[in-house]
Amino acid sequence: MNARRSRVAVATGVLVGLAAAPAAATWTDPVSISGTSLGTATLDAPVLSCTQQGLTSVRISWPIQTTRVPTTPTYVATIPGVTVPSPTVSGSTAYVDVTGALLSSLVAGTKTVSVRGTLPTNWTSPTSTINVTFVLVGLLVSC
Amino acid sequence: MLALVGALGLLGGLGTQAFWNDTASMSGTTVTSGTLDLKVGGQDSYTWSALSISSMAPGESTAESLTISNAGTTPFTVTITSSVTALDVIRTAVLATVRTGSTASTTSASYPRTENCSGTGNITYGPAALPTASTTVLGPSATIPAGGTLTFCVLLAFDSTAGNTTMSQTYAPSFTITATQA
Repeated sequence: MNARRSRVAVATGVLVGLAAAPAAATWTDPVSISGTSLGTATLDAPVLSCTQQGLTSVRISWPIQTTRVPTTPTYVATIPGVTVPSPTVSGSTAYVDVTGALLSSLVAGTKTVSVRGTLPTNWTSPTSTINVTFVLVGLLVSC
Repeated sequence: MLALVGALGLLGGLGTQAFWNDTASMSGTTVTSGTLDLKVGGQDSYTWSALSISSMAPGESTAESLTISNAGTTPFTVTITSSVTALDVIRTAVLATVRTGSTASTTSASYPRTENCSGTGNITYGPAALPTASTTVLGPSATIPAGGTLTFCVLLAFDSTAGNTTMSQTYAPSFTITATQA
């Protein structure tokens, strides 16, 4: 902006009679800068699906988040009382296979599989869960 | 009647007084006022989208530099104020640094995106959270003569220890640069 159009007179004194000196004034020219925006990432809860794979295994899978994050999250799956291997990545999907062998140390019944994503920071996604049921000491596993 | 004739006769006896005078005209003198004209990035108004970043994660940072120029005829100093619109949870997790005579590093595209203000210029603000109310982050600067420039750089760094509560937040800083006749 040209300051001649926007100059602001800064009076440094009050008028003292007709013989007062002209008020001192300085020109200013402000420019506003906008349009800057920072948005932080969003780590979504994985959307879990369960696919039966024969009698003794199910596959818990979820799409890998690729938007609203600066890098691909890593995922962790857990089942209480069991050491679940790291999820396998296949294209845009990650999955874990829950097999009878994996659950063989547990008492038969319904178990909860929990999956969450993490970024290499302190951030973790909300946890998603899905139940699997196994009977006959892990011989039969179903969603 | 006799008195009137006498009065007229008296007036007719007065001599006429006159003064000579002469005039000469002068021209060709013009008083032209100067101009105070601040340009930011060569423009009268500026949208600083280059400093923007999306999907930012803790530990990442963005930095950009801008050049202020004196496009008028009057020397001036500049003062830069800034404020931010954001929830406190993210406002306090983003640390701003303002540095004169500094340029930003090359834009980083891969995670973690870390940019910086390089150079030997003085830090005039931060690293500190910007307040919601306007605060001075630079200036008054040294006098910038007509045709002169001043470059400054702004770095916004997302605290690497920020927790989950800082997800899905927006942070919108604004700046006002005011040139004041020196």
